[in-house]
Amino acid sequence: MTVERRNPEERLEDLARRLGADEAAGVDPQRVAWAVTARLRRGPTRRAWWLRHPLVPIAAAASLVLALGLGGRELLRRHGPEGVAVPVEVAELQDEQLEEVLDSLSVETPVSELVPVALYQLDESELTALLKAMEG
Amino acid sequence: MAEQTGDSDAALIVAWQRGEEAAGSELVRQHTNALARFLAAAGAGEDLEDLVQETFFRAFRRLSGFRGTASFRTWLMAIGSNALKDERRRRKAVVLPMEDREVEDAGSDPHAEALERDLLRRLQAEVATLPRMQRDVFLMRAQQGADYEEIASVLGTSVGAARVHYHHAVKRLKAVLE
Repeated sequence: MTVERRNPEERLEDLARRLGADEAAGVDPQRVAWAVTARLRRGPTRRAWWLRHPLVPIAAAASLVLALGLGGRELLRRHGPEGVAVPVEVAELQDEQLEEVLDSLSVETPVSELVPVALYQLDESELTALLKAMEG
Repeated sequence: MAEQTGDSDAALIVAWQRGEEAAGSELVRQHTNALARFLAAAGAGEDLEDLVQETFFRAFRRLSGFRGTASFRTWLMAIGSNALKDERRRRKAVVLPMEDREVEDAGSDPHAEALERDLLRRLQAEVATLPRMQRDVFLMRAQQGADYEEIASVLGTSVGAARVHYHHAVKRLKAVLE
């Protein structure tokens, strides 16, 4: 196989393109098309009569508002005004300030939260170097 | 961008939305194989064809929500991933081992063929056990050829995060090759 002579990542991508190919060969596109269009023609599955009642969405919305109201009141009662103030203060911090705060608290910022800002502008080699450094 | 079917996809979608059923059938025919390969590699078992049908059904039902920021095919993969997750939750299915599945012929050398078959089997088993985001990003990119922008778009994440997921998946899967 020619893939044997390639680097591991190219070899992996080559193999990845072949994954599932044999199983997929057993799926007949024509049969799928027929089944899907037939199902779409039948329309949405009929719901139970009580779900179709016009008052159901109103009752659901009222329950949600009531639950949120009670939950919010309980939260305020337990934590008081200072509990609510924290997220607002954190939200006002600059990135550097937030990092300083997290460092001082020894809180490791999850990679996933840093990614959208920091990694977006890196090229492949910079990203690979960074990730390798993070892995130690 | 994933395999280019873009223009015809857009035209077929418009035609289907106008009520031309044949346009919907054509969309299904064009993307069934790619979707089935994605789902099979992600761990769909014997219900593969049912899952493909369910994915297309869901896609057509919410086609008005398709904004065209990614290709129709990549968008379809994301819907397929959700359908697979729902199916697993419903059936609490176990990923099927590949022992009984046929794998593409690796050539005339029986030894190389056996090695290749074993490698694909182990790789597919490992892909199916990756965390869902890593698995989806890896398959969308390595198997389907989608770019990071559209992957991030359909998976509701950032380009940077998609790249990190891909990196982690590749790191783990490379171990299978060693």
